[in-house]
Amino acid sequence: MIGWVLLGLFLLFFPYLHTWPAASSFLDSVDNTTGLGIGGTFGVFQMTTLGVWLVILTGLNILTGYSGQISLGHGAFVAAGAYITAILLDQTATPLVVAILAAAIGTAAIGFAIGIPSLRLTGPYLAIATLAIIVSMPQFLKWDKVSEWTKGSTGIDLPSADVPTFLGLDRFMDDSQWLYYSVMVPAVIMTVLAWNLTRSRIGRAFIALRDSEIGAQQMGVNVSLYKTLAFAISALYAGVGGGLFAYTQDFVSPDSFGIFQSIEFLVVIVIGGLASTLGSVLAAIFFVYQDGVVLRLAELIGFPERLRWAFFGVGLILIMIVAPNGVAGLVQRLKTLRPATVLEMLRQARPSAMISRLRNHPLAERLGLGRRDEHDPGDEES
Amino acid sequence: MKLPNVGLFRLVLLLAAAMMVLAIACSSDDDDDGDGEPTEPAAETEAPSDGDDLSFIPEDTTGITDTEILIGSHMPLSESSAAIFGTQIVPGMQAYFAYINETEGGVNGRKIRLLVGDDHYLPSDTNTVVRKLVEQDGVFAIVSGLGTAQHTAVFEYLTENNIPDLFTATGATLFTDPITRTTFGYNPNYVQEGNAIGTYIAENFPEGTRVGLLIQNDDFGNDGKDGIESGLEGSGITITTTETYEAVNSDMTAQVQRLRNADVDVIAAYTLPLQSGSLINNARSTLDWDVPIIISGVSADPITILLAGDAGQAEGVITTAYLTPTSQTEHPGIQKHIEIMAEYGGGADATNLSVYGQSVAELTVKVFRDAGQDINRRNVIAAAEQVRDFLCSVCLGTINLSPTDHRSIETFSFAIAEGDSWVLFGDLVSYESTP
Repeated sequence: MIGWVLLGLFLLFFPYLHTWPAASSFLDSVDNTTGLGIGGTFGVFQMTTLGVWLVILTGLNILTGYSGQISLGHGAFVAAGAYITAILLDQTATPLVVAILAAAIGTAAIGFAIGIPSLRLTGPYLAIATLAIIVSMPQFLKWDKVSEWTKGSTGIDLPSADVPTFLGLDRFMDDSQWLYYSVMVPAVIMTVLAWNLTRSRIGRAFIALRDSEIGAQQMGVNVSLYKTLAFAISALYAGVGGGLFAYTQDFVSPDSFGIFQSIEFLVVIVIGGLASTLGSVLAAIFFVYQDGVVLRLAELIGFPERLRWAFFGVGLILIMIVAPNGVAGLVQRLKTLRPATVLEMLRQARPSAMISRLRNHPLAERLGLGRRDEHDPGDEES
Repeated sequence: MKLPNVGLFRLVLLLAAAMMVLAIACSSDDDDDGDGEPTEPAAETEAPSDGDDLSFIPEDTTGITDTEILIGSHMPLSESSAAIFGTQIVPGMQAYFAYINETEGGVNGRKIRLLVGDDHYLPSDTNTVVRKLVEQDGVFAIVSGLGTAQHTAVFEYLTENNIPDLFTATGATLFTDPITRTTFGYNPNYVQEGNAIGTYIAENFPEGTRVGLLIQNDDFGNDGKDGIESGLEGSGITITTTETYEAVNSDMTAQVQRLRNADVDVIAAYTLPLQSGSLINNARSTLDWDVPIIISGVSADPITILLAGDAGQAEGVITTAYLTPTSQTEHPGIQKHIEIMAEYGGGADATNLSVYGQSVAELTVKVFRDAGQDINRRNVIAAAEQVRDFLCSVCLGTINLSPTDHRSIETFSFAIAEGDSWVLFGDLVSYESTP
């Protein structure tokens, strides 16, 4: 409870933190040692982009983590949302909120439409089909018939976001702070909604579908409806995220959404934790801040920054082994190591018990690493 | 206690959201004192875009210390095929700056330090790395930002904050026309280059020649096409077929076959090295077709000849060049460049792209030097606008800039593939617009 309040206060006052000298120098020193990028105006911008990716990754986690459908072309949905927003802002006098809502609805409709063929495609076939969407997206955006609106390969350059002058808002905040709130408020709301959704009837239907399609059908889950619904909801999130992307970046072009980026989306939600809201949050944090941290690490231990993806790959394999449910899953596991349990283990002076505790998770057992014969105090799961 | 209470959680977050809205409305008391935003002291001043008055640019000395000038750049260094540019240009720039720092003690006693942000050729990443360079690292200027879409993503940000945006590594016209006082282009623009290619065709081929185009489906290709069309105007020669491709596609078999079927007499191509190689290889080897081929200077790299196939298939292909190719080893500028790269290049080879890097670095050093001991953001722009008849050690033509001309290189030459390198021929073509 206290934790949530602190988190809320932190998010609320973060954009003003760097204007307070003591906090500012602390943030800067954190940046200097870790390369995170949380201090100054740049820190506010990083947090703003974190909000954007949080919405997008939460949506992808609903599709992949909960309903078990793999999309390698999620960037195409983000592009759709970004373009709908950018075109409305560029060509008409639509207010931002309306434009983003339109992007949400439009992208959800596209997601629903794409969800229909996905009924016939599963696993790798679906992954390849979605890959086709992201590959063809730039060509579609550059197509003569639509380039009047999409501005072809040039892309749409929007005026940068300014604090509105009504209510004297511009007296209290600068542009970067305004941008932060306009992204963070919807991002928090969308995350809470997703959290609720996954605990609702719909969320349970998704999970049932993922674990066993036939089993879900047996229990009365309308498979085709829920499969397309997962696509639509996920696309809706991508649409909102894309809209916020267009607003914060104030520029969209066909090159803005690469295939590589879509694959990176999947990688980070696996690292963060599939089928977990905390996992999406961790994924977004990872997505935004890993660049700076890896760069800093590269400086410290002296490996070339170009090996970033090798670092990614090794990290991914380690996570698969140590924490098959991502960092979020690891956090959950560590939580079972309650102080009393740890004390008991320490009292018995058997550190091996603690290690076996961590090793004895499902995958470790499968790999034959678990020590089931050993007595493990306070073990209530395995 | 695995799951926190959902209802409670919802309430807290709703509360937090409500507080945010409240804070937006009434946070005057706690932040009016936190006034000075260090990074954008004059963001509110509107930039007048004409006349000689640069007073709208603050005399900002961010990034300048008694001993150092800190500058930044955005380049693709990984995760994209465009990394071929960044990974060769950056060593060229770094080596030249290191050479100046080492042999001359820097510029007016200050050493130049260049930080490069890897944007993976992704505009949104460009936005992040440039903001980091400006807001966190506090660079004085951005130099040689590469990529049209990539630079577009930060163009407005740099302009609004009056940050010198020197010598962008793109030939797109949109950064220099209309003039933005703080932004300077570097590459000759593709429309001018296309015009030169069109004129070359008009002068060297008979009336009624059928021209086939192969262009990349983006601004690069379209600007080139516009230029070629303008160069051909009134010559009686027309473009009969235009084939396009997407940058992700490197196999030109189908496009070349269609150009063959359209029976064109000459092919002009706005292609990158990979596609140029495929174009030449398919025409010469697969179709045994000796059609004259002219490609954009973007492909004027030995790698194109290599990709075209081993049997001297690129022989006779024509391109444009605006810098001395590394193959001219007797050229003093190239000799010096090879020396500098060997000593300060950190193991990187001397290539046509490292030559490019050095040429930008030379112009940057020249401008910083001219800005003088009291270098600041305003006088560096003034110094850049006063560059006249500057001939860098590896340039073919001089660079002239003025308040009404922010295009650096406007002079180039034609080059022909001979053996494994490009050899310059003919007179220099100049589109210089500074009187």
